[in-house]
Amino acid sequence: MTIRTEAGRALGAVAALLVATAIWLPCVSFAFRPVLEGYRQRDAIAPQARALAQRHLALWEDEAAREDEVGRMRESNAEWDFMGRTFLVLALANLALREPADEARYLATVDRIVGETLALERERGMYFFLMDYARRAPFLGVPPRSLFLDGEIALMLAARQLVARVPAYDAVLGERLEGVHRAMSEGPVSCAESYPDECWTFCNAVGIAALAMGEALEPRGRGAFIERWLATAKARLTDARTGLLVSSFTYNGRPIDGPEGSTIWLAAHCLALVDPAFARDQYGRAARELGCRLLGFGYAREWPESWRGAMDVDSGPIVPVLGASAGSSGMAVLGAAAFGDDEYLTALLGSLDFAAFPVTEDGRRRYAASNQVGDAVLLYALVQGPLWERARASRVR
Amino acid sequence: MRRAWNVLLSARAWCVVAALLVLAWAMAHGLGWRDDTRIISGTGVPSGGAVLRGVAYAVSYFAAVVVAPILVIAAGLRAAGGRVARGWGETGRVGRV
Repeated sequence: MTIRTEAGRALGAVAALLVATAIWLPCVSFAFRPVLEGYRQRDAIAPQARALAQRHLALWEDEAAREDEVGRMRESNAEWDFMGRTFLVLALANLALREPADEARYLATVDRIVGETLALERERGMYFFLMDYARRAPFLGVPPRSLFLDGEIALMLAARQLVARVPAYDAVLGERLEGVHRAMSEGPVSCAESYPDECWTFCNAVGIAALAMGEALEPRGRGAFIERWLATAKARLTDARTGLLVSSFTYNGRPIDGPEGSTIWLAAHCLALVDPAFARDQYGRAARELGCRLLGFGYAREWPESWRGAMDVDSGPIVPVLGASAGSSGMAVLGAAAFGDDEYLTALLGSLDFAAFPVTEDGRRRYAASNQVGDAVLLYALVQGPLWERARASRVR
Repeated sequence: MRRAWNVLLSARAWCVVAALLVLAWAMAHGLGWRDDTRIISGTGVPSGGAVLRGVAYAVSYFAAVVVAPILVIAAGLRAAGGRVARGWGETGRVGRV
């Protein structure tokens, strides 16, 4: 006679579900684990990166589609429109260096992006690319400028010139770099504002990278300022508990926010141009404090355990309990790729393919849960390398 | 009530639920709701409908990819367990004979 009770059946069901969960959950990541060669290659353009690039190039060739995409981003954050341009220009510069045969096509799009960006800034003013709160108070620096804009415009122009110099851009770049240098050097902590009385490490690191690339193109003796900036950042803009650079601070150097993932991954990448050891240290600390893995999937926190910030437009939605941040995780892909952390990069790309809903149509790839700036960051992460190498090599000479 | 409970706990029911979860996701996918998942990145100011579609797509996707396979595996375990239990029961009857 078989012994079977209702409780026994229920217990058996629960046990089966638990065992099945224990079997399946670790397997899910294997189904989405990417072959890294398909996404990032040392000396060529990997297939997934190429598909991402094709989609971006198509957007800049289809006015209506681009306006739709950019319009949606600007509803959330005008900065995303601007940053999407910067990251795409950097990506295209790297693509042109990786594939000289297609350099003309990539640089044509770079020139279109740069030209339109400068025109928009000229016609609509710097606030066009800033969030509304930029108007609530006056900038403290004179003249009032946002390093967020000037640094990234300088970076875009310098990237373009490092690939293939255009005489028409020399004066524009020179003027922009002069403005960045002046604004930063006149700041009490060698930093410039992105918003009134608000300096961001992200923007200042970009400014430093732009100055370094400017020195590679045409030395102007700004190396001493770059060294001074590094010394100040290490002494005054570093979180005591984690050793990470803080994300934002006042014009006088008082920290506003602690370390944040949406800032530090990119900042470390930019600083690799001027202080590789410090940059690698920052990446290592960020990876320890913010890098996470769960059942084979990788993600990044926005804040370390020792700092609790508020969810904002930079962090994007935060997954409760895990503390996973879409903004930080996206930038972590750049950090992991730039610093050769293939294990973490693979885990992050697996998460992207699992949870960001990739779409590939007609050889063009995008992520449905992302947007143009997110996809541009990803593309840049997968093709970066040659531009930084050229900038370093040119500075050494 | 007891019969309904027994049906719910059956391996067959779990397979049916798994199939329905996959079907739900396939429908959401076929209706093009995938693009509404841009709400995850906070892009745009979506309408209430877009938010619902995006959430529905994400939930149905994770249910199809994570929950449905667990149900199928659990159903297989229950079926295998049932066969083993029946085998033990017959052996016990024979043993007593």
